[in-house]
Amino acid sequence: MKKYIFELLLLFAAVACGKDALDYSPTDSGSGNKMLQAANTAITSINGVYRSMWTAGWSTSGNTHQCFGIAAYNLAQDAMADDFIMQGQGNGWFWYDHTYNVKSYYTSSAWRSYDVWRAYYKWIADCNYVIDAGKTMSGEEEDVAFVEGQAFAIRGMSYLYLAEWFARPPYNPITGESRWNDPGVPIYTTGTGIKTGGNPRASLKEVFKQVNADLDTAIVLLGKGKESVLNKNNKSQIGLYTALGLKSRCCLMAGDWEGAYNAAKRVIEEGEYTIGTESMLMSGMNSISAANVMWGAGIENAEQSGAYAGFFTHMDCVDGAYGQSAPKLINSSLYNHIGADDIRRGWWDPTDKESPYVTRKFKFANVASWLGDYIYMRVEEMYFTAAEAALRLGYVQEARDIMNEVMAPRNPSYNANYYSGTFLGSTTTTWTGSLLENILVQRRVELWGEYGRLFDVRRLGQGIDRKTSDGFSNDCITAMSRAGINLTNPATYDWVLTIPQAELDANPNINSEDQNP
Amino acid sequence: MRKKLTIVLAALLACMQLFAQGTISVSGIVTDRSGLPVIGAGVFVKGTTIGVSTSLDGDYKLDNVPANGVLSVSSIGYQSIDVPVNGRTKIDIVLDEESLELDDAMVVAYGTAKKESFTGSASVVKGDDLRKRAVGNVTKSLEGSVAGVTVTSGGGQPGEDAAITVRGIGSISAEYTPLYVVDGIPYDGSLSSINPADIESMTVLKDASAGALYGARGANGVIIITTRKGAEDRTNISYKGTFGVASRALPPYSLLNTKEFIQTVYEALRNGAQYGTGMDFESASAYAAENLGTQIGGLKNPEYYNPYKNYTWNTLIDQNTGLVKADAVASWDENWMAEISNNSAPRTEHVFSISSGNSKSDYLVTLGYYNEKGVLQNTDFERYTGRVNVNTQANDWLKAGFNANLAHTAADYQNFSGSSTSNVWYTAQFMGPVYPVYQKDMNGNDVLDGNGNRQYEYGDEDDNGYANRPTAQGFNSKAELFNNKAYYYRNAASARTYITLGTTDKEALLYGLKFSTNFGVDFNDYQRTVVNDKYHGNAAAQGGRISKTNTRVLSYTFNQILNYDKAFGAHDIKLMLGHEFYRYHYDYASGEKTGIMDGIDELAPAVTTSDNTTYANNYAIESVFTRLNYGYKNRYYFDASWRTDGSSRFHESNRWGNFWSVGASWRVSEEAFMQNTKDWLSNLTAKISYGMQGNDNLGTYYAWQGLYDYTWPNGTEAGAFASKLENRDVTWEKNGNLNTGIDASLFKGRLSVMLEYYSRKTTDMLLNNPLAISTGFTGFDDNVGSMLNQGFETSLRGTLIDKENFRWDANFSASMNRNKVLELTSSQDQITSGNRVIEKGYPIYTFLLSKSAGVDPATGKQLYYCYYRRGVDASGNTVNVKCDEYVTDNVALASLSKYYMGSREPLVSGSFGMNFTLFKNWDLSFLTTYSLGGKVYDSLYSGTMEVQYAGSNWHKDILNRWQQPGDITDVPMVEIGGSYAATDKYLIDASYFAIKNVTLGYTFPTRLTQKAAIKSCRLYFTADNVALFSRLGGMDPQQNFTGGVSYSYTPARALVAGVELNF
Repeated sequence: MKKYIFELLLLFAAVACGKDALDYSPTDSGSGNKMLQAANTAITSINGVYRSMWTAGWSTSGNTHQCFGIAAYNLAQDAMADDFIMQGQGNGWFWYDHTYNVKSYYTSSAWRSYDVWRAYYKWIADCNYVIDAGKTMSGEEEDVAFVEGQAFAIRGMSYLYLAEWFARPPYNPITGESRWNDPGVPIYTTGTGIKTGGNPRASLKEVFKQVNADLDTAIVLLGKGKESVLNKNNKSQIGLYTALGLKSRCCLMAGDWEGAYNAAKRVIEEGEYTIGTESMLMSGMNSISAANVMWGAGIENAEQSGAYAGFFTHMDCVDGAYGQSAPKLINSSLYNHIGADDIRRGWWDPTDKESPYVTRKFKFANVASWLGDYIYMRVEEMYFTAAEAALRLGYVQEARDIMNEVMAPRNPSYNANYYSGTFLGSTTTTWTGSLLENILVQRRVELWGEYGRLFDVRRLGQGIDRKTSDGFSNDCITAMSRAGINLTNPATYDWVLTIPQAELDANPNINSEDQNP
Repeated sequence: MRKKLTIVLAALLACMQLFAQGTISVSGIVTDRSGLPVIGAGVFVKGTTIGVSTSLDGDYKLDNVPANGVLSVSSIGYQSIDVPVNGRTKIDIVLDEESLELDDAMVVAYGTAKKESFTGSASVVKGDDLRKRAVGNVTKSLEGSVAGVTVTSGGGQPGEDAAITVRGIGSISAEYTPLYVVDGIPYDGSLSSINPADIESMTVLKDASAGALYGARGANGVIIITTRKGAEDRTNISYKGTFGVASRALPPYSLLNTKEFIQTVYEALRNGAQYGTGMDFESASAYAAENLGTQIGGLKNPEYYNPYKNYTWNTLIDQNTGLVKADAVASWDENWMAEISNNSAPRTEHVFSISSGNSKSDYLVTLGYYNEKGVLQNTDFERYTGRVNVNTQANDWLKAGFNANLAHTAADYQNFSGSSTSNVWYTAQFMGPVYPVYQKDMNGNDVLDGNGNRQYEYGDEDDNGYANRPTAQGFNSKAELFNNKAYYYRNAASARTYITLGTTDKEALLYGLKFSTNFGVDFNDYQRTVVNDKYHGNAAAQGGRISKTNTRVLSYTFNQILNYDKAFGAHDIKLMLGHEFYRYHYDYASGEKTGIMDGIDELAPAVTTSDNTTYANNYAIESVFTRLNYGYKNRYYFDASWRTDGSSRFHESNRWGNFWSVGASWRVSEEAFMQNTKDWLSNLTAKISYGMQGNDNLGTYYAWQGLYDYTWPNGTEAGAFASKLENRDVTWEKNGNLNTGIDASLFKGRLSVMLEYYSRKTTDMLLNNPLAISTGFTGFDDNVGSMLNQGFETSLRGTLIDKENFRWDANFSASMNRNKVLELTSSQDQITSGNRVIEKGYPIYTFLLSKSAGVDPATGKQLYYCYYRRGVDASGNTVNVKCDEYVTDNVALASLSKYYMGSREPLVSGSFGMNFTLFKNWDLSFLTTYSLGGKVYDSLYSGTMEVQYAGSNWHKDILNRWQQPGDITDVPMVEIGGSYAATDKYLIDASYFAIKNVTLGYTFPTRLTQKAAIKSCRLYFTADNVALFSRLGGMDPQQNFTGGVSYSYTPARALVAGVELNF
């Protein structure tokens, strides 16, 4: 019997487990601390952010087919503006943006307010960890600069777009009016922990200061980072020239024409991009490897594509795609301003029987797998920006030259020298025939459906006049008039999103009285 | 041995008195209630030595029995009875099993307990009761059998689990379902892999005294399933076979037919023109007639969908009456729900078992087959099970056993849920009856394929050649079931094995000391295949799609337990000490490709990879536990338990939690002062317990860790995305659980009464502590908040009549639970989840909705009570200002003005059932359940009353709509895509009364069956899920615990006939 007892005790001792038996980590996730220690692994975090910029499903609790990151935000800003018309409701995606029926859904986590706020702030948070780690990150100087520079660029871009969505524009170049003291968005510049409280809304001045500081830092670092072995010239990453492109957008919004001109000009001169030719423009705009593309999403395979929750399904009219049930049209008033010889007329079909002025601009690269790269920034934009800024700075001839250069492959009979003046109409379809308007018309045509037209409308100080005679649907006009939406006033709050309720609930420094009207 | 002893003793006693009488010969058979012969029962003439014991067939023959004598029949394990002879020569006797009400050993945590000494709250459901329910999944059979246990209807998908809560919802973010323990070891397999026929009993542990020994996993109750084993001294070979048919248990919602549908669409269009844009009636009617076609038939060739081929859309309606013209003839009028339903779905079951045992060893072998077709076409469930249970006392100090279950299940199922187009429960409900199921030509005739078969109509011009259906284009509910595939296989193996060391020799020094080690393993291999048609539907553009998902769970529990039982005079002591290690490993692999090879359900031949993932999860708990039971004079009982668990879910600094309980009970009836009540009050026990239980199941295995998710590659480069914030402090959710009550047994066991009160407070509740989302994270896992569940439970069981040829038993149970959220996070008093809130001071999932104020007779608009007005602030902006309540039709302001409207929690719920035994051969039973109070927000009903899309059908109640100024009704004017606030109009009283089961059985007299070498034969007929009486036809008030409904698989009613044979 004694033997049994001894054996029992032995058994007890044997099965008492080692300490490690209770330590497990997931197999497909891991701690960030180690990853961010070295530049060559920290780049993984930056890549994750890019991936999330074109991945649906994480930034909202629903409506994922219209919430798939940057391309969706650009589409929404197109759908909210003047040139991009939805023929009908279709399956409903982007229709609520189109008819200005999203602001009241700020209590829901499935709609645009939550989507945009959540996405940009998540990118900021991930970048803040990288920037925090940057100070001690191991690796060659240019490798660290390459990683850190992208973090600064993404953060700067995020604050720029947050300010743009959640506040009125800081500057109206037509009236000269500015509102730099208007509330912008909260600013965070260090990594989030469980003790991080919510910050109050900073003024637009502070937000733009942050955007400029971040983008300027990014430009310096990415200049160094060009030489990094980590830099594989992957256009789905933000390099020096994309950072400059973002800087030029920021300057346009702020009315800093000098800054916009310098940044855009530097891309044109130093960046090894070429102006898109007919073959690049007419093949569906679905490849970031094209020589005119500066930045986009390189979607490698069906595994990474969002299929229905993606850009091309909304644009391409192939069977089963949303573009078929809700065709996207160009405003006929704008279409009629395209030169007769302009190859870009081919991007739309005014003679289509059921959907006149329907777009043919964007096509799946691979229809069978519903694949295609998303394009976020093309070099042509830099030409239009440089031309506009030059003109606004008084360099009229330079503006004309830049226009003639970018338009040459588009319209052989184009000549900017026929145009002059900077007078703009009170609405975007009140035509004046000025050179400035012409630059903007070419920009609108060129970037239709891919840039987020409302970004420009806001900064220009013009209003929008939606008319059924230009192609807007009755349903859209009726819905807007019932809701009392009037876009002809450039100071309208209809363009300003509401802050999501979840933020008001959990942020002690932003309360109902801080909500946008 | 013991039986023989009994007979000898009885004979000796009988010897003492002997009377001479007029005598006869008496013969008959002694059987038990189930008709099995009782072997070796002693049959004596009372007061004499005249007696025999029954043969192997249970029969006896006695000579020289006084005609006015009394037969006394007894057998171990049965209640002895006296039967007056009354001159009969043929007396068949049925013995009842000995009433084990008090001495019954019940299965509890880590062992068994005598019911009399048990201080906690636990209910046992016998396998026989469970088996009456004609269900494929044992969770569904628990309904109505235990007070305090709430069971959802679990849907009609064959094999699917029902969800269960014990004593209310105990958690918000963490799981609130009970822990399942099978044969002493926590179970990680699928409950559908267990053959209900293999279950001996289920014990539901409800309080801390009963469940605290399950430590970190016991807070929400424990359900212990004990499987059958071979019985001592009885070899039994049995077969059970059933055959049945299933149909919908709930009627579908009443929707409009084609004619009503078209008229309603027409009226909605006319209303839009008349009241929306201000046309007069005539112009509005003309507008409606003109637009009816495109509204229903789409932009291209709308006449295709016009079922009335002798009129065009714009001439179909008489514009004066708004009705379809009387001489219009419809070529079709579809009922999509009926098209996808199967109201005669067959099911069959075969169970074969052999068991035997002697004083040393026992064994049981069962084989089972179960096949059930669903009430949704082309869905089914099939199960093969095999179980072996062997136990042996190898020598006087070693006992060992092995119990294993192998199961293979296969099912075709409906793959989609919610309001996704592919969910046929959604699309078949809303699809207007005007849309044909099968392809038509322009004249309304079926278009046949090359083989002369009808073809599904997908609502797509590319497919039908004519037109686009405005709703669910490219989809057909019936085709979804037949042209797409969704099926799974599951292979499960569960084994339980043990070795117990401890002497059986009562004289040995260490008698009472036992050491056991148990090892239990659950292996579960699951493979799911989903194939989307390459010719039609949403994968047609990609040439079809196939996905395969494989998951594997391997978990094991290994424990070592030392037990010491000893009685010293009036003191009984039981001590237990144990150590346990639990390990869980889960593997996930899935692949998806497009461009499939028709008819080959494999990834290999498909063309393009669209998904490819693997990952694994790991989890472990290590525990040490102990329990002391002390009894004094079989009258006072006390127990205490303690367990410490270390869970891998938490950081090492907060890993170990302590869980404990204390309990006491007092058998009042054993006291001297109660002796004069003994004749009617056989037992009265008062008990009380309190303890602390835990819950670590917050959905993630890596609760504390800050993580980056590595599955975010950017094109060709690897990518990681921050997914979770670190919180080293996160730890167990705790449940302080107080239970007190009385158990009484009256009138010699004819009536037993249980009454309990409990109060269960959840503290350190696991919640997502919200962060401002501008920090990049929505929150982090944290222990905040508390919640209270308290309630009463009672159950009564009684034998109303117990005559020789008629026995009538009845049982009744009632439970009341009151839930209240006491505290949420520091920054939050309310968590909104759709129309419900979790709010401090209110029951969990309280409805917060706008309040309907009827319909304005002048305008036909929905009115609301409202306490907000529009105002202007100092800077000139429009703002909403709170004000006194008033009535408005402004939807935006009504949406702000919300009222607390109660929750799903019923006032009281329970069950009522009866069993009858007639002429010993007939048995009849029924079980009903009831629930009073509580509410359900019926979004399926609101969806058919406030139709949002052209082509969607309406509920019949829309016929009571407002039509012209002056109409008094509660249904506003019809609109398509109208804007409404969610109101209490669709909050439906959830009270119901359900007849869950009616069973009628007939056991053939043994004397007939024994000729065929059959010990017993019972035929029976069962109707399961017979009827539900509730407030709204079509609504399932038992769909979930939170008071919602969804487009999900409707529950099934089954009519089953069966045979049970024992050889």
